[in-house]
Amino acid sequence: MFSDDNRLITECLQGRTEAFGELVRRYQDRLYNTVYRLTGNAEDAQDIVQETFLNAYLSLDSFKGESLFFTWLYRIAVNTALSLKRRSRRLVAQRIKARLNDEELEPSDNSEDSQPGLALERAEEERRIQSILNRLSPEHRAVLILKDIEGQKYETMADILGVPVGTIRSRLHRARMELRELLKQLDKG
Amino acid sequence: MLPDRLARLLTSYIDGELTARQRRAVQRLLQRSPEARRLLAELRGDSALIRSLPARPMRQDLSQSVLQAIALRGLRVPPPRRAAPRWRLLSPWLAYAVAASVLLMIGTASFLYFDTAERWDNRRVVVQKENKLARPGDNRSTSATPAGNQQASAPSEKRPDQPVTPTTPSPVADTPKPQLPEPPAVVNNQSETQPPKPPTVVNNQPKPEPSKPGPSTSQDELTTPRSVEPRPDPLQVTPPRLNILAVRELDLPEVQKQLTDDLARTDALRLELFCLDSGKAFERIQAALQGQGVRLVFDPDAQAKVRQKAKVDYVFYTEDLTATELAAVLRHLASEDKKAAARRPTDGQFGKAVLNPLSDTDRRELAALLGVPVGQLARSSAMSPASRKPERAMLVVSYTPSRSGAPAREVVKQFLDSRGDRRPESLQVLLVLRNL
Repeated sequence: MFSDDNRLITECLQGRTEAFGELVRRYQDRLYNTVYRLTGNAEDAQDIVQETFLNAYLSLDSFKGESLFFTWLYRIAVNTALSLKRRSRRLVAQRIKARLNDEELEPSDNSEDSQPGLALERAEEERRIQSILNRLSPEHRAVLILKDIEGQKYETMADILGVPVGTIRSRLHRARMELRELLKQLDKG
Repeated sequence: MLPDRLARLLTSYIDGELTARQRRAVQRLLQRSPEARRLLAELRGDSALIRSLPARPMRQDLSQSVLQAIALRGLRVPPPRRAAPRWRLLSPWLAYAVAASVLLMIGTASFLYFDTAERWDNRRVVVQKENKLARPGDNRSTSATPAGNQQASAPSEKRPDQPVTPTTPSPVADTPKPQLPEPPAVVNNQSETQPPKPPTVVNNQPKPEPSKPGPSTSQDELTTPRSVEPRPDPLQVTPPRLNILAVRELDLPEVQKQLTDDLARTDALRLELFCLDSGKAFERIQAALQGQGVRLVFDPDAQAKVRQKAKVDYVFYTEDLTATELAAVLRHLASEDKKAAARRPTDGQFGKAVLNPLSDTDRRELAALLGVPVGQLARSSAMSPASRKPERAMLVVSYTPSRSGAPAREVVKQFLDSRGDRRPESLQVLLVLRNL
């Protein structure tokens, strides 16, 4: 897979743009899922993923193959998503409110049409978890998603977020503690 | 309450990011502390909760829209950066060894060359002597002697009245000799009527590759014109993109010259500036433009994003800047960004500037972004200097291609409607500020 990535990148650098389309197809779902969990908004996630691929295309010559292509893509996407969030905290607050009102999330698994009760229940649970995630700061949310959803190692996360491993360690600890507090409050309420 | 130090160990423990020693310490802690066990169970439960979130795949194939956007924006992958040669990473002694080897090779090659040349000269002298000594009409020594034999003979071993034959068998004498072509008849005729001329040695000289008898090079072959493959016309070049330049080098005289030359080649261009954070970079561009007396006209959405210092891409559009003014704006930008980077490296904002001639695709994209028909971008030709407008304006909109096509806002309409005729030598400039 990874040597295949390198082949496609080489072809792309040689001017075969379609090779980049193959890379997009290969990684769009995984990237979208992460960005969606970071932003909590489908439209934003789609825009960010598209811009990520375009930025990646333009910077393809700077990809040195020291990390995996997907890690490199993550770096662009996560930083774009985080910057967007940092710059528009007010908008985020509004969206969190909207999320708490269960306005934007849709059931994600259509295969459960035959069990509408179960699908609704799962969708409800998803909304609940996502709304809690959205209450975390973007930095804390990012480390939790990278660790728990993507299963990345601290070292890779440090590479993606451009911070030392020690920062990841302490940030993840604070994120888990913050999440714990939020869940406790939710349980009490 | 568990101390923070131990709680940290627990979070790293569930992440599987502890050393063996730390892991053992945590296991001992868990054996003796019910509080630690409870916290670990809670943290594991929280982690499982996040992991239980279903994967959300994209509902469409994004590749087509990405490729379309690449084509629409005229984006190109920059050529690969040349990696540092590996030999630079090796020991300097290796470089000395390589240099010595090269010198040795040159020395050996020189020796062999001159040595061979001397032998050839000697052979030539021998043949000439033989030709002189040969009786008129007797051309055996010059034309009938196999070349291979002459190769083996040395001047000192021959008597002038003997045909040139080897005195000792050469190492190659036992090997079957290639059949040499018959000497051309004209040589024999000449030798009968004229004294042998040095050029006759041509027939006696050994062929460069006697063991490989190739096709004979007859006069016909030499004179028959061969089919000539069409060669590319060196003057025929494809119109290139203008340039990729480092923004911070745009105040260097040689780069400025290159930039001015590039700008002189077009009257409409697309300039993409890549930055780390458009929230900060925007302010620098604004200052540089204001330095040239350019007023920014904001689309409300863009203005809100500028106020928030949002890291979004922006599009600037003007028809009021000359090449000189644009070069001055970029020079100012380069110098300010360099100063900022000198104060603090992370304050440097700009990366590369990509200049392209404004294509029809760019015009269509711009029209879609502004929400106007392409035809509305067209502006009447250059006006006379007398009617020149004193103020220069530049429209700023946020760059969101996925939402393009929305109807034009009032401010965009006003901007386009209020344009007068173009100033002489002014450029149509589409500037895109993009975040890396």
